[in-house]
Amino acid sequence: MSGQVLSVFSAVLRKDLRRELRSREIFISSFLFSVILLMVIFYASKTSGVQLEAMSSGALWLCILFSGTIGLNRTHQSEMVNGCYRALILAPVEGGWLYLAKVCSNALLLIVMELLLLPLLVLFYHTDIGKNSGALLAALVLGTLAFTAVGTLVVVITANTRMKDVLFPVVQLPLVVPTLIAGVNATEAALQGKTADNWLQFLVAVNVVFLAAGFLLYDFLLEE
Amino acid sequence: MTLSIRFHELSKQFGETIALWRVSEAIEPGDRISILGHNGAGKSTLLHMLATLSKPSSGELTFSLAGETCDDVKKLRDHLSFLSHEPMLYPDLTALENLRFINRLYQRNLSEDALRELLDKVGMSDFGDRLFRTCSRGMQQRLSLARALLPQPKLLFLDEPFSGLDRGGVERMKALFADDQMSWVLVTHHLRLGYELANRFWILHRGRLLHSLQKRDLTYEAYIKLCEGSSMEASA
Repeated sequence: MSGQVLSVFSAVLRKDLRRELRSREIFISSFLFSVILLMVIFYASKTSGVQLEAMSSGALWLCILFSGTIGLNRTHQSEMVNGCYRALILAPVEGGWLYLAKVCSNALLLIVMELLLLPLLVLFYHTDIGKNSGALLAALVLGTLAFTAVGTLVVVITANTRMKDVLFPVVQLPLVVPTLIAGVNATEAALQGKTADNWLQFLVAVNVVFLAAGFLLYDFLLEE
Repeated sequence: MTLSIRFHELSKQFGETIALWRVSEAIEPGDRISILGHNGAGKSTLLHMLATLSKPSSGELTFSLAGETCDDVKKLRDHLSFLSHEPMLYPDLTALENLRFINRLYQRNLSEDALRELLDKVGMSDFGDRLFRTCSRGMQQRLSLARALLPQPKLLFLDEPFSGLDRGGVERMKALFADDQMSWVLVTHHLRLGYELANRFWILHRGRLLHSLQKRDLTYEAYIKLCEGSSMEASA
């Protein structure tokens, strides 16, 4: 990777994170939504008598799915304000690097949110997150990266359609199903202290496929 | 490095609507072109195509860099810039942060002093640390101009650059457009400024190019008559 590419990559990443740190608009709404979701599942499980600990990985990935979808949509909408996306289109850089930077900034925000949700899982769902913390962290990082790799691509595809707010989750959901299945299983295995290698390898493969597709297609999709 | 554009029978359709119909012309180094026409004449559509922001439905659009045909859009974009109705700047970043971002995005490596100098040129030197969203419409337009000038383009496309500017802002903009190193294409409804600044004029009407004229062949009165002939209202 040449110095110039790194410079562009870090410029986009820093710009996205600085904007979010300043406005906190996307992070706060996504986090609060996740907390509400965790609480709803907590009370539903209490009344139905379902074992809470068994619900924790599913609940966590539900939060990632819904909050991530909201967050990705809003991140892209903020790029549309003032026609900022046009500055990106007109820049003499490969769109692939812009895509990777956007995936990283989206994933980073989502991972921070997940790390803040973990104590809530411990508190309310009595989850022991220390049994295989390395695998848990790997599952969350790889799963989130795959999720945002798909989402960052799909949100650009649906951005210029009339029903973009409806179309984005509808198109995104089938594409993130493999990530969700692998993410839930890898997280579950890690929380039980088991090895999650197979699921983690699957997540690596999903990442490679979607990141490569995004890198190659982003320029074309951004311009269209 | 010189940049020139030739287009032949360029058309653009949006569904059934014809926005531009068989327009042929050329832009050479040193050209300062005002595109005039009433609303819906196809001015902005043409500008977007020339700035590589949209593709023509039919016709030929040829870009030449240093006299050689160039199909590499990324390479071309290194030499052109666009100032539109939208400022293309981030509301939650300060004026300087926005310029720093554009500086790195376009890989220009301008120093901090050069960025401040650019702010000074557009009359915004005291507002470098102000968030873009807290700037007035006129200030945003000045910053937008700084953003467009930062990559030091060979060819600048301007869509209504004077909107929201006070008299001082217009004067500063006029001074910046006098740069001999840069060609530009300007879309405006401001007939007097359009005449004053340009050396060529394209007058569009309902997607067709009605007139392409040199300034030396045209008095101001004749120019106004032509513009009014295409149903325009003189704001001069």
